[in-house]
Amino acid sequence: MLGYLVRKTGWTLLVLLVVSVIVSGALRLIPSDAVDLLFQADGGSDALKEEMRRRLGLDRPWPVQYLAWVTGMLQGDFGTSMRTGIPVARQIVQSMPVTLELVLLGTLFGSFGGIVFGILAARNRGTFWDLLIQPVGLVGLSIPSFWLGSLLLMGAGLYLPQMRTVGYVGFFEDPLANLSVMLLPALALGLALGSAVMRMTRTSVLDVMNQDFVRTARAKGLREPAVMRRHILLNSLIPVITVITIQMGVLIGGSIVLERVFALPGLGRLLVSAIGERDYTTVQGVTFVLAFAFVMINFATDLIYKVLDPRVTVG
Amino acid sequence: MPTDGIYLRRLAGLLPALAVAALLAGPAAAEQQNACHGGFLNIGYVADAVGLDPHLTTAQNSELMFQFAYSGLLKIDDKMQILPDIATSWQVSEDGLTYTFDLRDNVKFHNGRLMTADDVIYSLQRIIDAGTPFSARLDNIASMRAVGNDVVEIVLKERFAPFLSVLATVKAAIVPREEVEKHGDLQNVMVGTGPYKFVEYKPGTSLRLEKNPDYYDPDLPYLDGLEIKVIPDEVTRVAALRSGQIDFAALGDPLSLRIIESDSSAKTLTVPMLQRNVLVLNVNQAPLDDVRVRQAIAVAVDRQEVVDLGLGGFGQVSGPFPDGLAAWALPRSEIPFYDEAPNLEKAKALLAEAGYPDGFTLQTYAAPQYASHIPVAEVLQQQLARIGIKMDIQVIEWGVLLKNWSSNNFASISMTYAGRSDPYYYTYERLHSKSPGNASRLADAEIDRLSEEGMELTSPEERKAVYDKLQVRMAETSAIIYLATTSEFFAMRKSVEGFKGMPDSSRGYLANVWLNTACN
Repeated sequence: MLGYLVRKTGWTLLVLLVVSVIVSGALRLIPSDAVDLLFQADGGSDALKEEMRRRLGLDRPWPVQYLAWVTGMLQGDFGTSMRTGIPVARQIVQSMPVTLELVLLGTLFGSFGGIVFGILAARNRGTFWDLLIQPVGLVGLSIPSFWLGSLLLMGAGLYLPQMRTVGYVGFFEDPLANLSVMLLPALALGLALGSAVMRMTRTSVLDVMNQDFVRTARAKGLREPAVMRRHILLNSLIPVITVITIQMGVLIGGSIVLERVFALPGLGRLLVSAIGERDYTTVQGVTFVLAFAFVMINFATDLIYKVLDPRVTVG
Repeated sequence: MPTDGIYLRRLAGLLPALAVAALLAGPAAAEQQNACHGGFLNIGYVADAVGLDPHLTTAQNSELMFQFAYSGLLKIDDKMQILPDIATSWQVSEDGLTYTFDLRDNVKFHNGRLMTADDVIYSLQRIIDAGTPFSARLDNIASMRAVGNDVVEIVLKERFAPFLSVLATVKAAIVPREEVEKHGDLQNVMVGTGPYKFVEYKPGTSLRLEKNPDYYDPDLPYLDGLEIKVIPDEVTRVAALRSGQIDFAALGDPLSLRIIESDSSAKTLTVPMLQRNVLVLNVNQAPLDDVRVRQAIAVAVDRQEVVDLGLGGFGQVSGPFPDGLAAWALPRSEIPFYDEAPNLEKAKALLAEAGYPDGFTLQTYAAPQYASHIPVAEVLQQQLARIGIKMDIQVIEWGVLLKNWSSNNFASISMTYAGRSDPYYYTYERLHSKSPGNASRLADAEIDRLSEEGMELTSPEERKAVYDKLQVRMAETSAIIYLATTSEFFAMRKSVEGFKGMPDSSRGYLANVWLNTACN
């Protein structure tokens, strides 16, 4: 176990290092910097711009800038935004709960709906329900989440005008308003994940249903619900968990666009505007956090496998 | 200790300025005589403030939020006239270097303390020390001093006629030193002298303010409070307005207007701005280095068609100065090339003279981040094809475009140039050979000489004569092809009254809005 943890930590650090180097370098390859974007088309004097670059450390060579950033990060300092001077850590902490909630709700809706319908489709294989659910699943995978999001927003405005759809409120401040605002974006996000989950669940359940030990259980006299519960479900879940993990990555990407459509002050919105403003420190800080989240999700998946199937040796 | 001479000059200068101030304040007060007090307004803005400190933040959207809680020495009205704010009157010395401002004596900061002349000096110095693009505009100040509690004297290094317009912005807000020292900066809290007091700021989401009962104008503000919600997506903002979650919003797409107009609970307002769509030409790049080629483009363009097809019908044809700069803009009939456009024969003749009878290929950059830039380029592409110029539109990201713009690495760019209240910004800043804002890199001796004169003269009549000549010369050199001013669109619930759009997009009137539902 210790060996496993050490290796996992090593991989994590390597991933974070590579990601940060790539992001940091790629950012500086894009023309323009924070100072140019600050002045816009007002044309500040070269002297003033150079002075501002000096203050922001943009006049140093890239490896020096990167090392300075890494040194800060090792001490827990994410730096300050090149645009506003506000500490990046503060902005990330403010934005994170929104994205976290969105990703969690989206994953929950998608997973729950996907598993339920997947099981339904598997058990009623070949029947009307199965033939209905499958194409719906394909369409669900194909619809872009931002388009669906806008559609849901307009629909709610027309048919449910009393429903609060804009103006994010923290969950602990006003749980009802918070859920009201998060419902539509979570649904829009969850659809793609749910469709992928549904397809995998169906396949996996069908697979397990035809195994010998299931036939044995039925032959023993076990009732169908108990067969489902005790034998089929857990065994079919492992591939499904894998799909959920992979799709969560896609979902986090989709949340970036959706945060804009639904005016949610999350990490995605922070990231997009920081890129436009060439706010290197903010972009590097946010991508670091996102990369870390990916790694943690993978780690958690490993542990869930172990819980679901003790035969699996982790690491 | 001031000498008697200064006091006498001050008295002599006082009366006209006071009279002007009274005249300007009068009609504004009369218009609002039906205004009712009370009510709460929800506003939808497209982007967050990104920090609330008026001296440190530079994002355009922060400015829109400052106006509620802060005041400067001066402000402007919707005709771009300079009005008193904290300063009730002002005089300029004969040599144009010394500006003396008389301050109101009943202005309180939101923390209860009375504002004095020292606060003005402190605030202006803080701006100069901040090192922001706006600080550069105050570079010209040589010294400042407080004369007693109610008078501020500012001495400039060089004559600069537009100096008052530099101060007439909420970016030159007066702030209390003790609050800055207490919080370190004012990024997360607002303490000023404005009509509304800060209540709560949730970064990225909302800003809430309440009525300031100690505001120096006892009649204002009308509302009990307001909240600004950040809603970046226009579809979302329109939906929020229609469902009543917000009462007021600025829109960018004329299509959104049509949707609102069909809604009986809301109304719209279209405000022509000083900001213009332009085609910036690089004077260093052949064939644009031949002035006849540039003139050909200027006379071939059908500006009304650009408005109709590129700006959705919302906009006004513009010459070198926008029509909204009413005190300075010459009628287009008096400006060469703009008086007869579109004249395709003349354009083709000019091109032939320059050696391009069959036209040429013109590379044009445009960015998708702003709604009008690409559509306008597409309209120009069709129009210039009529005289044989093949426009090759290249869409690039705004940041990349800006880099090319500032490093003279382009042939032409379709973009917008911001509008300000003083003609200096359209001339010296954009076209003087030494100005960093001269992206075209035009080096014309007459433009240099005239724009310097216009900057230094202080008499409006003398300046007008200079700027009249400048507009003609701007057309003759055509380093920038001026197309049309754009409009801003606002949508609001029918209960919202008293709003007027500002041609420079500063939205000063939002602070003086009232609700007719509060009248009972």
